[in-house]
Formats: sequence, structure tokens, C-alpha cells
Amino acid sequence: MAEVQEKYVNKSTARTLRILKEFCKCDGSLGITEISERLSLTKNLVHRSLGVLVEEGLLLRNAATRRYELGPGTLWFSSSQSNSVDIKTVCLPFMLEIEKITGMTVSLQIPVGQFQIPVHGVDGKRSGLTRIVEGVPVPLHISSGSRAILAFMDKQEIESYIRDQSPLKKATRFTLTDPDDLRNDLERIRTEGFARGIEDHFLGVNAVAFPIFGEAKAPVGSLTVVASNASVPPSEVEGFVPEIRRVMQELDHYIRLQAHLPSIAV
Amino acid sequence: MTDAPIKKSAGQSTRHALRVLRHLSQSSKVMSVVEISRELGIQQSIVHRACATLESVGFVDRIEHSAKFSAGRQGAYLMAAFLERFPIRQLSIPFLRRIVLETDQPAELYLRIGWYSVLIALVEPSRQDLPHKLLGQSALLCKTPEGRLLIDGWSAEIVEKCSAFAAQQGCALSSADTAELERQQPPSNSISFDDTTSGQVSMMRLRDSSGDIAAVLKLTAPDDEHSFDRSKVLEEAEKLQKIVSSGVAKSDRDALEQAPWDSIVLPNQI
Repeated sequence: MAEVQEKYVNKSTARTLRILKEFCKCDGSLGITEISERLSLTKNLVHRSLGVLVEEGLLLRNAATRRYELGPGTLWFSSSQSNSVDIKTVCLPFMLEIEKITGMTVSLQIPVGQFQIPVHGVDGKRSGLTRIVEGVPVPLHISSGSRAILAFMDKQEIESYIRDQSPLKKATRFTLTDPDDLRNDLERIRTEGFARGIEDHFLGVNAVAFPIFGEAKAPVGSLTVVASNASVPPSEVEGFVPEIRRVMQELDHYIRLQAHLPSIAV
Repeated sequence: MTDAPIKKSAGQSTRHALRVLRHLSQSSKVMSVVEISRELGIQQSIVHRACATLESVGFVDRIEHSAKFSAGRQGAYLMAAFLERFPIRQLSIPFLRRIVLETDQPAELYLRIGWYSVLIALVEPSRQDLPHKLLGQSALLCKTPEGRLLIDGWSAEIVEKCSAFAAQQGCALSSADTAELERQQPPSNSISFDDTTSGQVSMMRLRDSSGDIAAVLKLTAPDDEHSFDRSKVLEEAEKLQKIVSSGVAKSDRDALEQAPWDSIVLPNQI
């Protein structure tokens, strides 16, 4: 995306297409005010764009509610589903967006047995870290990216993990090695929806991680947002949580849509 | 403000960009600005700008190290989000899955949108030797067997309008189409594999609470060597029929129902 020749981009068309994309992220219809708030655009601009999208059949306007919803014109895009993609491709735009918001490094990891393996990373401009090492397995209790996966696994699976891995390995002096401390942390992760990791994997490094769910609501991976304490202190990382959560909700929605397309496997 | 008419001249560049996007999506291939410009008869500079804009919002992908483009997944997401709004789609999937487990052949569900039949739900077996269908693919009602079944029982006047619309879209009915349209459709409201040979298609009308045809279920008979339990397939198809006739699956899409059918123009993907 960075290579797009900005000078050739038509701003008004890009705005209209961004408005159209918003309909992928909602569960039904959207009103003008809602769209203008979501995208920080004036109602006038939104109205103009919606008019074009209705004329093109991509949106329908419900006369009774005055709200807009996707229209049959979207069926023209049925052929674009034939490109098969994987979880890395689906997550990449969202990882880039999180990096843009936070300036921190973002990594994607997937569960493999009782480990997680980082499979992709986007380096943050201000994370103060070297590139993520892809492909090195990490036990599911070490690092926030691990626990964001472990917390949402089946209760029985969690207990068998603790049993099989006991005594729990230590990566730093902050690693949770007491099973009860780990259980409490997992409970908190389930309640808050994300995991915190302060120096429990590497000293001087802090992170937050969010689970990625598949079609069956089982975790298929996690995204970790990570930086060195010196460049982004834990308190500042915490401040990014609401924005990261918003991006993760969008990713969740896309993965759900992805599951509808038979030729695309996540 | 909200009801003010939009000037026709407004959004000209958006219209060009959407034409380019539709063309790329439908051609399912990688194309250069020159090729798109030639095929659509739009100036190269306009296509160039349209592609840059579409790329900036993720609707097209640029092929690395080349000046060629392909349709991105964003369009398919929009289509999937549109289909998600039909309750019948979600409700039918578990039944289609169980049927496919029995037959090892695709199970398809079609419904009518405007003058088109649209593949709204599709479950395919995991084998690779079948021609691949696309979810959301559309065809003029009078041009396919499932489309003709969707309009079965309509008055001659409406069927006439349906053919007139096809002609308007440059797909006038051939004599074979007309013969098919006039041929009486099989009266059965059930799936029958008894009189079909291997690989042959069997279709079932699914009627809503008022008795109108709401959807068509299209199944393929398994290969000769593949043993399957006919009664299980019938049972699943009948369960699906019950759901449709209970009214639960009725589309709640008011806006779509208000839209004049002639205003809906879709690709004719036969």
C-alpha cells in the first residue's frame, strides 16, 4: 500500500470506497450520521458518496428507516473470491494499521500443539526492537501472544497443558510459573479480551496481545503488539488498547466473512 | 439535506473506478492499464488513476514488480456481507453440509434477486475434480434450469417481462430457451434421485409460508460407485423445506424488496 502513487489517487473516489468498506464492518444498515462519525467526514460529503453508491446498485436506501445497506451490485465482485489466501494475508492489512497507530512491532503467531509459532511480523518504527524471529516455537504460558491463545482454549486443554508442561518453564524472572497464577491470568484475559506481557518473555520488553478467532470461535492465532520498555513504556502501551481492540474487531469481522467464501481457507 | 437529489455529474471518477473494478472482478485475471483501457474504452490516464485509487483502499492488488492489477479480496468481502443478510443462507448451510457428506457432490441453493437467480449458498465436497462454482454468481432467470424453476407458476405477463428484460441486457431468448420455458416443469416438490443417472442434477423448489417458491435446492446424484443413503438426503432436504415454509427464513430485506427489478443489473454468468 505504501507504494501506491499518492498523487494519482482521487480523494473523492477513495472516500466513497472507504464509506463502502464500512458496510463490511457492520452487521446491517448504517445511517449518514453514523458513517460521518466513524470516518470523521462531514454529513454532506457522506451524503454525496452514498448517492453515487446507491445509483451504482452497491447500496440500497431503505425509505422507511432512511438507512443504507449493501445492495445486489456487490454480486459483480463474486469472481474476486477465487484468489486463495491464508491467515497471514488476511491479517497483514490489520497488522499494518496497528503499527501505524502505535508505532510498535506487531507479530502474528499461530498455535501448534502446546506451542505458538510466530509466522509473520511488521516492524514498528519506534518499537526499539530488532526484527521478530519467525518460526521459533514458544510454550503457551510464556509471552502475551501465547496466553492470548491459551486463555481461549478449551478448559480441559488448558489443564492438560499445565499438567504436561509442569514444572512450567521460566524465560525471565517475571514468567508466570505457578499454575494458579497462570490460571488467574488466563481468567483475566478472558474477561478483558487481551493479554499483557511485561518482561515475562524477554527482559526490557513489554507487549499486549489479542486472540484471533476462527469460524468455530476457537483461537486460530494471536496478534502481539510489542516494544522495548525504553521506547514505549507499559503505561503508554496500555493506552493503545481501545484502538487496537477496534482494529481487532474489524479483523474478526473479516475472518467471519472470509469463512463464507468457500474457496478461501483461513 | 438527506433527500436532496445528487447531480448526475457528481462522482464521475467513482463511476469510472467502479467500472474498472467490476471489469477486473469479472475477468478474474491480471490486467494492465492498457488492456483495461482498451477493453472498456476509457482513456488510459483515467484507468491509471482509477487503479491507483482502488489500490489505495485495497480493492485491487498490484502484481509485484509489474504495472498489472487484479481484483482484491475487498469486493468478495462486500459480496459475502451482502449474502449474509439473507437468513435462508445461514439456515441452509448445516443441511447442505449433511447432504454433501452423503453424496460427495456439491449442494447449491438459489434464490431470486430482481430478474436473476443467484447462488446464495454453496457447499462443495473436498475433492478437487469438480468444476469450481462461485458463491454469489448470477444468471438471468429464463436462461438456466434453476432460474426457470424459480419463476415456475408465474403469470404469462410476468414471464414476458422477464424475457423483455433479458433482451434489454443483450441476452434475448433463443428458441431453445423459449422451448424450455414453455416446457412444463416437473411437478415434484421433492428431491428424487431414483430416476436420475450418475452425476445428473435434481432440483427441489422450496416454498415459503404463502406457497411461493422462495428458493431452489440443486443437488447432483453421486457417482455410480459411490454408495449413499437416499433417505438421509431426502430427510435433510425436507427439513430445509420445513424451515423455509415456517417463514423463519423469509428475507427481512425491505429495501431490496422495494427496489424495482429492472434497476438491478447483474452479470449473466451461465
